[in-house]
Amino acid sequence: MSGLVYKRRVLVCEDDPAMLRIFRFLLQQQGIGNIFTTPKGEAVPGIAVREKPDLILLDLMLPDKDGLTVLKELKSAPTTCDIPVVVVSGKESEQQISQALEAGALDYVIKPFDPAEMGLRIRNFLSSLDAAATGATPPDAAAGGPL
Amino acid sequence: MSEPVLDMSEIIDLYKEDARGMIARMQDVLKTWSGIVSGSDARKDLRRWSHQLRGSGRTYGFRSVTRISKAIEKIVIALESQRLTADDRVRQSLLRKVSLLESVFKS
Repeated sequence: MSGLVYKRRVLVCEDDPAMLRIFRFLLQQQGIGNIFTTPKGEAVPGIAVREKPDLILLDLMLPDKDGLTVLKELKSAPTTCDIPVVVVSGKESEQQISQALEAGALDYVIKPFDPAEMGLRIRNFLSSLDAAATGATPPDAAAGGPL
Repeated sequence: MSEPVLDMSEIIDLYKEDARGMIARMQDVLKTWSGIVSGSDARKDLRRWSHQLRGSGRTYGFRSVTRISKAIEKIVIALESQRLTADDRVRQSLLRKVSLLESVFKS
């Protein structure tokens, strides 16, 4: 496990305790030491400014605020616009996926998902951050041939 | 290279417990029914619980939970948009589906 991955900080905004538990499990499996969680969309920008996470996992259907609005707020604020956001939602229409990606989401994962696959997505994403931080070539890019 | 299989057993038991509680609350609001008819918080709660179980069911390995919960959520959305009337037929259909959910977590 890379020491850099361990130092990574991840914020999860999810109101379903069962899903929150699985995110925590997957992140811990990846050796993430700093996991911040909130069930409230309203709280996300403030936590993002304070804790400076490397990644935000954001649900869309939240009890207090629409996740898409939260995403737009994050992307319009200078202090949080560069934080990558992966939307994880049960909303599965093409329109909703497009809206989230247009608003700046890095990726859109539809619930339910395969936990092993989600774990790999998280691992690959954080590995790419580590590669960027150290100037190394990410494993995927190194394995690929010339385009 | 194959990836190790995730051992989620420690959190699956907690999930079953949570799901049983949620299903019991679903049964309660369906027994009362008036909240579903009037569109009060009870209907919003029923939609939220079915939405959550739809998302978490297959994620935890319970495919049928996702399938049944999706059907419940669709009915509640149809009630919200008034494409469906909250009559006894709808109530019985919802009760049957929630009973199916209950049976998944009985063993």
